[in-house]
Amino acid sequence: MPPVRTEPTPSPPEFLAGTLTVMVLHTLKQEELHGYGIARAIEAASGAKLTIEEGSLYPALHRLEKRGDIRAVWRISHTKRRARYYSITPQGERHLTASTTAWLDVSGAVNRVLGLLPNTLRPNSAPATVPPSSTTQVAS
Amino acid sequence: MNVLASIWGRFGDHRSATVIAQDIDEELATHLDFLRDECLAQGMSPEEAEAEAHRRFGDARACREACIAISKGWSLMWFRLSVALNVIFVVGLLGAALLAERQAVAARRSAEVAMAQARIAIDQLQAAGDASRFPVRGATSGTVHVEGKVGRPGEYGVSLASPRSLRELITMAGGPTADATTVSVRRAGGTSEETQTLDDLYRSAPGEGDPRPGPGDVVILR
Repeated sequence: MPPVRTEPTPSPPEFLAGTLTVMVLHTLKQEELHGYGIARAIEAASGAKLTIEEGSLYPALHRLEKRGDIRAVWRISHTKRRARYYSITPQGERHLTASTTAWLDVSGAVNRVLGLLPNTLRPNSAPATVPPSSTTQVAS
Repeated sequence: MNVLASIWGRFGDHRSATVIAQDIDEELATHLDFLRDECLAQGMSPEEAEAEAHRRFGDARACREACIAISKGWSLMWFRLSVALNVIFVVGLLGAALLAERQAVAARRSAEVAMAQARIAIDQLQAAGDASRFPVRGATSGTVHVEGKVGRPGEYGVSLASPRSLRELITMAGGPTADATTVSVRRAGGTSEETQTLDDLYRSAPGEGDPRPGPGDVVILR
């Protein structure tokens, strides 16, 4: 349950909300970070295309922590602030792999539906068109 | 240890509700500080930096409530779970006690039935014994006549309920005199005697081969 947006922002549309978790896990797989660091890393990695409403990061982080996918420790940051640093757990890495696969499947499927990818991989259409043409070629 | 730590972390937030809220407040404040610093570094005025930090962060209060709900939700769930477990435990205990009580009652009842049956059997045996066995000996109780070389020859009471051994009877009759060597038992109404030497009698284990004189029998020491 991410907090309700108070104002429309140019941040990711509604359907990207569920992807925050997998992006956080992926980011934490690279290095241990505090919430602000995670926000900056996602922003930078997405080429500033994805700016998250940063407060919404925390419920997601706390949920992941409770689920055992990440763990947190208080450390002193390089700016001498006490910050809560998150790191991924082995369980989190397993969930990340599963979520990444799921994302690939779903995003690929959506792309095909939107006509953004060639349809040749669709199991029903490709073989159906090839055999008739090949038989005509053999006949002639 | 990792597994234990993950289980410990997952169930039952070991921090108190106040500490959870304090941690969340501090965490969110730190984030806003970072944002403010970033804005100041870009050359914004402190007021602009403050406003921009809050704009980028979003609804801080909603975020705080959501985080607390997640942490507390778990400890609340843990609390409910422990209450449920306790209820199950108490119910189980009551059930076990009830079962034990019922079994004890049943055992007592069957013991009483067995005792009653035994009493009836004893009564029947006694009745049968009174009618058939003891007439041969004459009676269920009476006296044994002890005579010969004993300290106090005479009649000594015996009964089927409290039978006496030959040695007891001799002792009751004052014991053998110094020159006594054998002891004979003549059964009631009979003429033959079972004789053994006193040495044999006193060397044998108590009760072993003891003729146990009954009412009307005669014991003679020679």
